[in-house]
Amino acid sequence: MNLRTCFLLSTVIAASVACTPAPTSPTDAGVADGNDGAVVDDVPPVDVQVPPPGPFQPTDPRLRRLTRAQYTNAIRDVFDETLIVPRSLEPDKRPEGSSSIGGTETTISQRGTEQYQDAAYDLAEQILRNPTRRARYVTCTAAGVRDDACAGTFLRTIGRKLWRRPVTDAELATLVAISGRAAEALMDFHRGLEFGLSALLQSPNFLFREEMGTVRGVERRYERYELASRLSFFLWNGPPDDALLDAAEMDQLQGDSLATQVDRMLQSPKLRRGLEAFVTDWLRLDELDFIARDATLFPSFGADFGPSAREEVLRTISWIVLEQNADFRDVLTTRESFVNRRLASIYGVTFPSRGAGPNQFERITYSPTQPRQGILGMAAFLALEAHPTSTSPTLRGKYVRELILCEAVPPPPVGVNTAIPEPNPNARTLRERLQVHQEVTTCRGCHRFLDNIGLGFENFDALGRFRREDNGAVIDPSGFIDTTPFADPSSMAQALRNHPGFPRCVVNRLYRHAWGFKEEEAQREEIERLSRSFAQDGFHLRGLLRTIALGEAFRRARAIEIPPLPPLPIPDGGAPDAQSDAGRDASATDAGATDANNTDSSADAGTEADR
Amino acid sequence: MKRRALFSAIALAVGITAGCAPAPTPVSDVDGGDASVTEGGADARLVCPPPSQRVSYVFARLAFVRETMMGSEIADGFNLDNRVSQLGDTRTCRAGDLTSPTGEPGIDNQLARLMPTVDMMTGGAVDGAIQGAINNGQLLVVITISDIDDMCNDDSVTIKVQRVDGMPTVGSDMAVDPGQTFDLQRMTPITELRGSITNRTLLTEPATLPLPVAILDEQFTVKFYDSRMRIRLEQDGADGLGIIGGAISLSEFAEILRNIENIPESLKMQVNSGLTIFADLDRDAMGRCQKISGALRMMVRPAFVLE
Repeated sequence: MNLRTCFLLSTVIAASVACTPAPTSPTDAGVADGNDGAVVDDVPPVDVQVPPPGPFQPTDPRLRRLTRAQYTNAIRDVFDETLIVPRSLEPDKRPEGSSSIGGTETTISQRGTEQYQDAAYDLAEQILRNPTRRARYVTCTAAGVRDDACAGTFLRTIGRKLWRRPVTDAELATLVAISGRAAEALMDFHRGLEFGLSALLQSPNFLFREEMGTVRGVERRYERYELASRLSFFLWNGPPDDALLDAAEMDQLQGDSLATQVDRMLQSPKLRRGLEAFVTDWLRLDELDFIARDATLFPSFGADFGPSAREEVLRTISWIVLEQNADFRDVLTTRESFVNRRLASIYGVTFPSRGAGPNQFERITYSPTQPRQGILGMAAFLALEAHPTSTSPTLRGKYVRELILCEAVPPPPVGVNTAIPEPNPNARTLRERLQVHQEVTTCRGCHRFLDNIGLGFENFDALGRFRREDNGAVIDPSGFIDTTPFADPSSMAQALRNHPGFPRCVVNRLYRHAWGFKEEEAQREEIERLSRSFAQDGFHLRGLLRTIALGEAFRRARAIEIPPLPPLPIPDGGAPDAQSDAGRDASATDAGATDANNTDSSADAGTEADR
Repeated sequence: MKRRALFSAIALAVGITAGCAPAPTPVSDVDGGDASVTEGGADARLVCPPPSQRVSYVFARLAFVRETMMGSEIADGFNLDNRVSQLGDTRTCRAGDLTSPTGEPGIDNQLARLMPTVDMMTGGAVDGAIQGAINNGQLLVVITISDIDDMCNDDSVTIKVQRVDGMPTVGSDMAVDPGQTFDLQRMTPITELRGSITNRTLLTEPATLPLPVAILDEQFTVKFYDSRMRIRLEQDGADGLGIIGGAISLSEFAEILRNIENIPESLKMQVNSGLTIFADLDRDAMGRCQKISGALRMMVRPAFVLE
């Protein structure tokens, strides 16, 4: 019986259970009785057949707010790498531990609106007040303080890149009007253009990915510009480049032409950025910015620890996927790693380069006799899942269950005492001290489920340093994962690599990352299909990315009614010509909400100009 | 500042020893591309770590040994002359030996008596100056132990003492972090010593150890005579505590002082006088001792040396 089944079953039959355990060994089914909240141990496993998934059903179309990383990537892709992108932006939301899902479930707060506004003006200044940089983007010479034609050329060109679709004539008229009025007020063409550019940057058309789909029969489909954005944010975590936008404009994102574009994207250096976004989300690497350690117990801990640890994971996985094109499961067992001086000192390994600076990373290779291997032997995981003063086998086990195997772990029962005894002569190691949880009925199920994995990492302290002893007693790093015993971290890594749940989990998390929502039963069939494809392809992640990007499911959305929105008001000039909108993607009519919001930001810009 | 520089020089001269060596044998404790590690391997459950070809430690902390209490006559160090001298002993220019905290008599460490005076003159800045030099990479000294058959007990090991370069990371305990990799300072010769490990404690045989010192703006080399080290070697990156002792020549140190600019002559005379008064070793035909004994307490941490 797999854990998903157990969890579903226990949820149904034991809603009041204190700690719903999953089976951790053949003799421990841990099924709750559902009567008094107690857990019945040692009952035989209940085998429940999971019904085969039904046909794939797409989900609703949605708007997806750019994550901070996507905002930064978009600015740097459209302009240049040297721009200083403001960091004070609306924070990412992470429901289900995923900022990708968060993007579809959030909007912008009042404070966030102000931050985006400040960022827009800041960026516009950087771009248009530096003569060298300005000359790169404003290719025409203004005939006077107000030159609508020149402003229009700039705003149309940049707007297409920022909004990831052509700016309609009506929208352009608004932007040009804003720029013109500001230029007249400030007696400076380029200062006026700053307001037009900041309007582009504050627009929901920039801040949100518009994925409404076009009605095709009984469902909606992502086509042309929407599909281009969907592909580029999935594979590059950034906006489409000109080639992809051109392909969208020529309606070439289908068939062989689509495959050509996807293959091009998979060979681009930007793929690393997309991969890193997925890995960061999946492994919760952004939380490394917030970990803290007791300075007395861990004097080696410094502000550079978290970023260094994250970089190690990202570089190692990128190396396996992009440079080696190896079996993705190797991320759990690889003996290769990338360390800087800080990490090398924590791991107790030679840093192989003379005179290197603190941010220089070098590849190292552990020998087969060394206990550290794979991403679960890295400081990122080992420190992330530890307390400020000590390790936590429970947190580490939970991380493995939830993030590596995608198994559900129920929260601890309300009011339960989670404290563990202090070290004493009879219980010096954490394994011995945690034994108390194995002896309490309400704790036993979950803790056996988690701790038998987490204790396997006890040779690594709360900073990820290797140790043989805990409070003077030799550490026993053995344990078991489900029915597979392991003797030490190395054999545990091997067991996890061979666990069928790991590749399925990767597919599951990549699916969530690509689609931006947590899968429902109606999408399980697609995940199963992708899992089979992943296995057949030798667990090559690049191949899985291609399969997702070219898959039919990636282009489908549920057909829902999207109400029409009021027309776009123009601050200066006549009503927009409806016919002039013809160049815009058909789906744009569904995105009226963003246009309405755009009006607000434009108005803001105008008000600012008037000042 | 000048006084601090001077007394830092004294401090280092008395305590630290490394550098110059008769045979500058190259050290190779790293193995190129593969990660050379201190982590446990297949035998990780051994409390005593498995044999290792070589291990290196950096001097992460150094401070002069002082009497445990003024006038207590108790201070750590070594019995350099294999005698237990009482106050008035003419062989030691009337200096009496001290007793170690563990009760061992005959400890030669006259600097332990002098340091409180030095502290008063310098505001206690001597140890701080040494630590500052270590932490900013000016005074990085590494010992590399090789020919190890047993990390707990080995009657014959080789110890190399060498200067290394690097900008160390310093932890919240204000000492060099363990496990760092440093670059061998090629211009500085390496001193090779013999020693043994007993119950995880390394003890080196007496030898002369010259130390090239760079501290504040001054650079000089101090020779430590009859020097020896005793260090408790811990495992898994834990701090090793120990002591290093020896004797410095008054005439050599006076020469060093003479060459250090920006120190007033009066101060140089004060220092020379103090050292002469407390000198206790190498009595000449005129009955004057030519050397003074001393010791520094130290903390070592695992390190790697990259050639």
